[in-house]
Amino acid sequence: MALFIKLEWKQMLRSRWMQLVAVLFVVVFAAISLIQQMALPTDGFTRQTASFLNLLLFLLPLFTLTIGSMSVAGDIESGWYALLKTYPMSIFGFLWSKYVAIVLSFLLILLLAFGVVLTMSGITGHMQLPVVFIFLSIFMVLIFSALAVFCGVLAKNRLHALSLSLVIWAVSLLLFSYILMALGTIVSGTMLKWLTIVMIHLNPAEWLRFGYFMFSGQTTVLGPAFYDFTEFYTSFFGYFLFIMLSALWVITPLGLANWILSKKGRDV
Amino acid sequence: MKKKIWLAGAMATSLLLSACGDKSFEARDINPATDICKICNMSVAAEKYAAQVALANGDYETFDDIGCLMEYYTKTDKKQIGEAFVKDFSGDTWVNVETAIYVSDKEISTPMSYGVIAFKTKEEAQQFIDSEGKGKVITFDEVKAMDWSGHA
Amino acid sequence: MRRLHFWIAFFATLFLFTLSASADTLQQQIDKTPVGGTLTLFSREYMETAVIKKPITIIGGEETLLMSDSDKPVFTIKNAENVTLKGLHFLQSNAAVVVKNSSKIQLDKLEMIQMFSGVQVYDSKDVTIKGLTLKGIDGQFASKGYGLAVFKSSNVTLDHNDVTSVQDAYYLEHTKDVTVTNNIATDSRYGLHFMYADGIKAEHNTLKRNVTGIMLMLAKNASLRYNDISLQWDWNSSGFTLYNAENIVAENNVFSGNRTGVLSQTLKNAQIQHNIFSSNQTAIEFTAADKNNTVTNNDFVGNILNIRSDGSDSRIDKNYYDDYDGNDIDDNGVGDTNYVALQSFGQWMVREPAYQYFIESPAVIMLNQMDKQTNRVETNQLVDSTPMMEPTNAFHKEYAFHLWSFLIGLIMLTGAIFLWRKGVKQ
Repeated sequence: MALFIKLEWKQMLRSRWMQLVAVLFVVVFAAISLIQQMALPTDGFTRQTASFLNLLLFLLPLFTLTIGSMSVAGDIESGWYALLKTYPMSIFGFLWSKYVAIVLSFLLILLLAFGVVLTMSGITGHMQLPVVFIFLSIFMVLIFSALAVFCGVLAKNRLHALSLSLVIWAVSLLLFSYILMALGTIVSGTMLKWLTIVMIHLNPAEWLRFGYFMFSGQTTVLGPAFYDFTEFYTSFFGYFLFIMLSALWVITPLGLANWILSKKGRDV
Repeated sequence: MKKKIWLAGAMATSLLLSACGDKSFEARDINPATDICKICNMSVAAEKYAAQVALANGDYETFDDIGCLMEYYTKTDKKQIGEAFVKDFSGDTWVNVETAIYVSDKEISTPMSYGVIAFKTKEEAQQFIDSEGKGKVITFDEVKAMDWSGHA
Repeated sequence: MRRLHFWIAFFATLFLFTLSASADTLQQQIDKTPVGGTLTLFSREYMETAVIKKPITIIGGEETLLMSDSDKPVFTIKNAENVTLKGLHFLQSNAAVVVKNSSKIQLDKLEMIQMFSGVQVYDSKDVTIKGLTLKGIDGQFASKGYGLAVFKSSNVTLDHNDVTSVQDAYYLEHTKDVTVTNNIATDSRYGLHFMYADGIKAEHNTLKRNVTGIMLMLAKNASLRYNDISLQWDWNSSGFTLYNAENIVAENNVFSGNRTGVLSQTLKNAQIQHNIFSSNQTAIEFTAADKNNTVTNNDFVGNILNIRSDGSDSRIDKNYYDDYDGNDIDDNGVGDTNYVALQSFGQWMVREPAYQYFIESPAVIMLNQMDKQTNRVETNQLVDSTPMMEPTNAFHKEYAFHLWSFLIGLIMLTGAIFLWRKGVKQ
């Protein structure tokens, strides 16, 4: 399996797409670390930290989902997966290798991008890179890669995979929030709070955003309505639960993908 | 698809909520770290002067002084208000505004200096007046008739 | 021989005298001091309380330490004139000094540690408190007392005091003509809390990490200038909360890193000018505002939301906004197009606080972009028709070279490139 992971990784890194994404990330991150024109306080939730957070939230899931799912769907479509099945490798082995390869290549991109940010901030003396951001992006890659594998398995072909992942991206980043905001005009404030809490658990992007506020100690940004909720999560048990639920976001999509693929395999 | 199910679910819950209109309202605990007065923005730090309104839609509004409650109470549509409570000055219980006994005196210092406090029973109110040597018992109607608009 | 006897007797009496004097209680010492006299306390611990009713100056010895043995304050100054307390140290008491019905009171360089509350002044006039430092107790602010509290008094001066970890650092109620300058308030509920006050001068104060920096309620005729208001970052925090206030001048203040810079409700005739608002979540919020309020010549830099309101309007002119994207073709320093501060999301947040959760979330960012296009034609609400192209204050960019950041970054970069190339190679 290690051999297969290595092979997959090489494939990933060789793809034009991946190289393009790497260049894009480096350019974008370099740009925002240079754009700082004035000396402003960097404590707390400022526009700078917000824009950095949003950049991660927008770009990382988008590329992990599209590239990851297309790679998996491509394997199945091109018959590469059928060929692999003749080897002594389980379905889960295949999915796991794909997952690890996607995660590793995106972590490499992150290494590259954060390297650029640190180098830049070393020169200009601004825009530190908070540790929370590093962990947040790692979590993001771990979770969305699993979702990407799931999308790829679900899709009929590469194009289908692309559209599926775009839908998931749009729903989790934008639509979910818009629906909730629209509902907020009808329901009471307490109701909106509970719906939001439910959404945080159902939507990986929101989950990670919440995780950022929690681990950076900026829970007050979310507003007083969420006092009890954040108190619950900012305890030892809360942290433990957060890690566990995040792990669930990795295991569930992979498990589902495994189940779908084995069902598909029987049908074919 | 997912979106539709969501929307339907949310609609159903909101309908459900509005359907069960005739329910009894309960006062909730004050959290001094987050609860602020709806009218004057001050944090509700001294609970014995506090008041709250349980809105018909399930929300709560908190007040740091009975004066602020009354300012809200008099200008809010009564249909929106489920039940209004004041804190018993000598105890830990929440009392319905209609049944509470009020003691008023300019010299009683309250967070917004409105000088009105509430008691659960007449005895407790009288006890306060006797021991402090100030204040007189007034009814809720008299409380409502007072001028509550903030004045500098 | 006789001489020796004399000296022995002399020293013995002297010794006895000092011994008995040092055994005097605080109250006895005060009573023994003549009217208008000066009493220097012994360098020892006092665990008692005393009442002052006459003109007197009390000065602390080098190691004088005062503690109350009951709920009462250490000193109660009642119906007195010309009382000065200087250089005293208080520890672990309910309150240090209470002043009632007195005038011409001076408290100078008092130090208080682990106190429930510090000084309370009632119905007095001509009170000056300066150089006082107070550190409160640990815990939630609801379980603490006020630092310096003044009720129904006039002509009060607070200068160069430093109060931390109490409920309200400086509380002034029903006061007339107070001057609050060069004070510091940190880690408390409210820094400066004015209620029913008339005539306020608050200048050069530093207010940090409180729930609210200056809480001005039902007050009029206040000038708040040159204050440094930063990091008010709690659940309901703001730099200034101006509630039901009239004739307010907020000038040359620096608001940075607050949840809301200036939160105002039913504000009348206020001038907010020449302030710096930087990196606040919301710089200014107006609810039920009056048309006579003006927001002019301020610098808005790095705030998430610059101005939001419930729809009530104020005059907004000649401010600098770092997110203004217009041009200045005629080169007169004023932008050629309007700056529209109006944002749908901002307005929603004013009406329903639960929306706070979505602040600057990806969905809201997209919404704001769309908003910017549709609001371009807005001419009434929250519009600055003369936005400045340059800030009035200089924002210095410090050039510093961080070697470690640079080196680690470089190592990460080369490592990543190396791994990539290794991966790509056969």
